[in-house]
Formats: sequence, structure tokens, C-alpha cells
Amino acid sequence: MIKSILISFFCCFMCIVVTDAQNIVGAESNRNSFFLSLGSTNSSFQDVKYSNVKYSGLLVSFGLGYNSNSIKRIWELGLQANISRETASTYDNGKATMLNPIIYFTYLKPVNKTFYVGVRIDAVDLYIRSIEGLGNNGSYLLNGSHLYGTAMVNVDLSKSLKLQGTVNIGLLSYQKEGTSFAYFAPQNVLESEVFDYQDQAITNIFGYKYFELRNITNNLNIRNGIHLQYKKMSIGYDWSLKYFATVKSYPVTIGIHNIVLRYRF
Amino acid sequence: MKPLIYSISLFLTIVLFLSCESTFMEPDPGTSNRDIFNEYTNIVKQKYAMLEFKNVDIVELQSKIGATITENTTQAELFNALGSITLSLRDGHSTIQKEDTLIGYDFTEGYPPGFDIEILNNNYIATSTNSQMNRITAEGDEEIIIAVYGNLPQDEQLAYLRIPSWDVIITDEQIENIFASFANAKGLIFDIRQNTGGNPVLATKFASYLTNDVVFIGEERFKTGPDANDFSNSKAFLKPANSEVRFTRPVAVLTDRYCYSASTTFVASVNPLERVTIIGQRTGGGSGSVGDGYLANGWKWSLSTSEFIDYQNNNLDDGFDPDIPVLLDLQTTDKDEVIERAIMELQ
Repeated sequence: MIKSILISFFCCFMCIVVTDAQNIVGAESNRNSFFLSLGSTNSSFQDVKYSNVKYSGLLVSFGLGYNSNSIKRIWELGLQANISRETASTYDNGKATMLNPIIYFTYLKPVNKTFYVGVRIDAVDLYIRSIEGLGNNGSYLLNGSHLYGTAMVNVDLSKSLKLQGTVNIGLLSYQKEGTSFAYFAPQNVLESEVFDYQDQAITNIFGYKYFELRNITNNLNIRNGIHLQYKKMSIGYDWSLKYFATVKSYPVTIGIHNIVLRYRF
Repeated sequence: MKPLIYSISLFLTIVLFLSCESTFMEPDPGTSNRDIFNEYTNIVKQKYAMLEFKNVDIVELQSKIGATITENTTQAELFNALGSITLSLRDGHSTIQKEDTLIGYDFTEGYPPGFDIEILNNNYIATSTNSQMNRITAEGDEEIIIAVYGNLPQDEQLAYLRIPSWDVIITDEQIENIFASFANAKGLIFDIRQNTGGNPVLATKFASYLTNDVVFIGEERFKTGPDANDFSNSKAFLKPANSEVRFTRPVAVLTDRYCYSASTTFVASVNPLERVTIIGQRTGGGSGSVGDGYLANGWKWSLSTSEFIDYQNNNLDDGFDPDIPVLLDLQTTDKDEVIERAIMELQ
């Protein structure tokens, strides 16, 4: 139900913005652009439910999307995928592969010439880890949608050089962690007093029945970035943090760093 | 002035947050002999779901065996010490593994064979013996048998279905076709001997074809936290398959000691059904769900992190006694006593 409301909200929001954007495209078409990005991802992970050992690793990130920039508003719709190959900090076996595709939308209004505020919605934020050598716990799944409050500073350093800094603070998340304290099923399933192997929503990553709404007080979710833009190219550094616990005192921490080159068409 | 303040504040915020996830993370665990021993025994203490049923005092073991662990203890000695704790659980799901060496409980030890593939093939299901028998094999590997089904030459009104493993991929359509072929059978022999488990979802799916009603089958008690009493009391039900070809006539389920894990789930699911009779040997048990992970030195552990209490309040982890115990006589190769007893029961 809540998922449907969030999706409806996202769709309505998109319709309004796209309609708006069509007007802007006519007036300021030079500020609307598709973009492609490519970079490196450095990720780290710790799930204290299973071990205090940290995993971290490096690989690649890529993205594409559409960005509209005007005096009245900035919005961006994009897909970003982060992939990394992680190693445990204290042993060599049991390497993990991390895949994190995100479909996001950002909408910002100017407070003044350089400062913008708005929201970011991660409509899909899928975090999948596959750990070599394990059976039932060989996969870690976290699927969610997030609403952030966003602030951005846009500073023109020169005529063609622009510095942009963004802070996104997660306000609400609607998500499901696939693993509980001791088994590959969400904790809220086990605490629901009924367990049904025939219930496909338990193992299905998109089984919305067991998604739960979390907020900033029990789900720290931050995305920051600094981007330096020169004409059509930009180089940026993005960092995201997730910190939450579905079992009290056993937090999960996920950090993802990206250094990306973006080209605007 | 204001834009400058905004800008400085925002950039300071970004700098403050950059790369700080490590401050949220717990420090890495130690990897000394003592650290590894403590890590494993704490995992057993916190996650293993049947310490009480197995009558294992983990605190005493921690103290007794832990006293022998020093920094002079060799890796082989440490591994054996952890292995002795694993073996004390008497649980085939619980293992400790170091590279290619695995220590785990052999739940079949001391039990006579309850199944012989030659006897089964030569007298009942081989194509040369029984042309009516159908086979589903793994895609790309015909040597891997997923299901054997058809009618028995000894009584063509009786259907036979053999599922050697629940760790296979079989489509819903294939399952429908299997049960559709039993439409005119007066009884079904469901042979899961040697089926050591796999996916409990698949086992339950097959079980769901044997009922028209929602049936209470027991409680699965999952560990939900570290304390001794942190358990869920998750009630479990068998729901009828959404199908027109459910089989609701008498069924004989054939078991042996190798029926383990998801096969115990299957037996627990169909046992409450009045039309179902379990025939053969005591199953291997393994009724708990399994969690696994790595210790800080890379050794792999797996443990039962739930226990299943059936609808008659029995813990099934040490095995399930059949309604009709039958032993296989390997000296008589012209018949399978377990199948013969099932035929007699269904006739």
C-alpha cells in the first residue's frame, strides 16, 4: 500500500516536472541535456548480525540520465549502477560481488542564485551482494525506495568552471532487508508469528508484503557529492552511507564512494 | 553574504560526512586462537536454535575446551577443538570447514541401508522393466534425474513418483503434468528415499498438491536475537496448491535415513494428512533452517538457526519415525520390501 502511494507520488511528480520541463526546453534548451557517466566505485560493508569483519573493494560505476537546469528549477532523472568486488579485511576467501543499481529523481528550487533546496527520490535502490562459498547466506539483499531532503550549492568559479556540492539526507525509506538475525528471511517475517514456505514474498526481492517504512531516526541514509564542471565535462566525487539495524544492536553499514566523469550531450 | 554562508556551511557538511562510514563500523575482530574460539562459540551460543533440545551446555563447553586454547595451539588443534563443539550438536546441518576439511555429524551412522537403486531400477522403474515410467531430467544433463513418475507394473492403478532431491529446478508446468498424469490412480507411492534435501519451498510445493485444506503442521522457532529465549514462534501451515490436479486419494510416502532437511519438511507437511502413511525407515531429521558465514580467519560455519516442532509437539531434528517401519532386505534383489509394503497398504 505504502509502496503504491510512493510510486504514485513519484509518477505524479514526474508528470508535473516533465510538463514544466517542456516549457523550459523551449525557452532555455541549452540547459537541458542527456548525460553519461563513468567512474570507479569503492564500496565497504559490515553486517554485525553475522560478523564484525568489514568487506571492501573497488570496481566500476556508470550512469546515464537527463538533466534540466533553469533559473527556476533544476531536475534530474537518472540511472546509476555501482559494481564492486569486495574482500574481507581479515581473510582472503569468501570474496563478495556487490551490485547496486539506482533509479533516482532530483528536483530543486533556488533559494538564491547559488543555493538550492528540494528533494531526491530513489525510486529503486537495489543492493545485492553475492558471497562466494556460502549457502543460504550467500546472498545479501536490500531493496528500497528513499525520499531525501536535498540542499545544493552551485558556485560559478569562472565563466566555464562551476563547482557544485550536494547533500541529501534520507527522510523516509521503504525497504526490505533479506536477511534476519540468523536466517535468510526478513526479520519482520520471523517476528510475524507465521512462517510460510509457500509465501513467495519472503524470498522475492520485490515482495512488497514485507517492506517496512523507516525514517531518519532508525535509518541513517546520506548521499553527498562534489562536482567540478568544465563546459560539457564534469568530474565528481559522490559518497553514500546507509546505517540501520533490523535487529537491535546489530547494525548494517554500507558505504559507497564514486569518482565519476560525466559528459553532457 | 548569505550565499557565501550557505556555500561554506554546505561544503563543511560535505567534508564532515565524507568517508566517515568507518566511524559507524565496529572494529575488526581479532584472529588469535582465543579470538577465533570465542567468536565461534559465541555464534553457536547466540544463533544455534536447539541447544536445549540437544542438551548441550555451551557455556560449560566454552569454559572446558576454551581452557585448552592458547597461542601455542596449532591451527589443526584449534580446528579440531571447534569441530568437537560442532559434533556435540549432533546435527547434520551444523559444520565447520577449513579449506577442504569439514567436520560435521554423520546422521546416517549406525543405520542399515533403506534403499537400493539397482533393486528399484531392475524391478520397478527402469525403461526396460516399465515402459510407462516417465523421467524429467536436468536441462543439459540427462544423467541428473529430477523426477520419475508413472504407474507401477505390479498394480497399474497405483501411481509412483520419485523425487531424488529437492535441490533441483522444476517448473510449475512440469509439476502440474506430473499430478495430472495421476488422475485415474487410486493411490500414490511418493518415494523420497535418499533425498537429502535442498529447497524447502519446492518440498512444500509438492506437499501442497496432496491437500484440499489448509492444515496446521507445526511451529518453526527461529532464532531472532542473541539471548537464549530470543525465538519466534512461527506457526506453519500447509496450503492447498492452486491447481485442479491435486491428488487427494491415499498416499504412501517412502522414507529412509537419508531423508534429510527439506525432506523432513516434506514429511512434516504431509504427516498431518489422514490419507498419508509414512513407510520405511526413520528419517535423518535436519528439521532446522540453516544459516552460514565465515569466522574472522576465513573458516566457514553453518548452523541450524531454527527448530521445527510438529503438530504433535515433536522436535523432528533427530528424525521422524515412520507409521510403518520396513527394512530393506538386500539379499532379495527381486523386490523392494518398502515399495511392496506400500503397494499392500494402498491396495
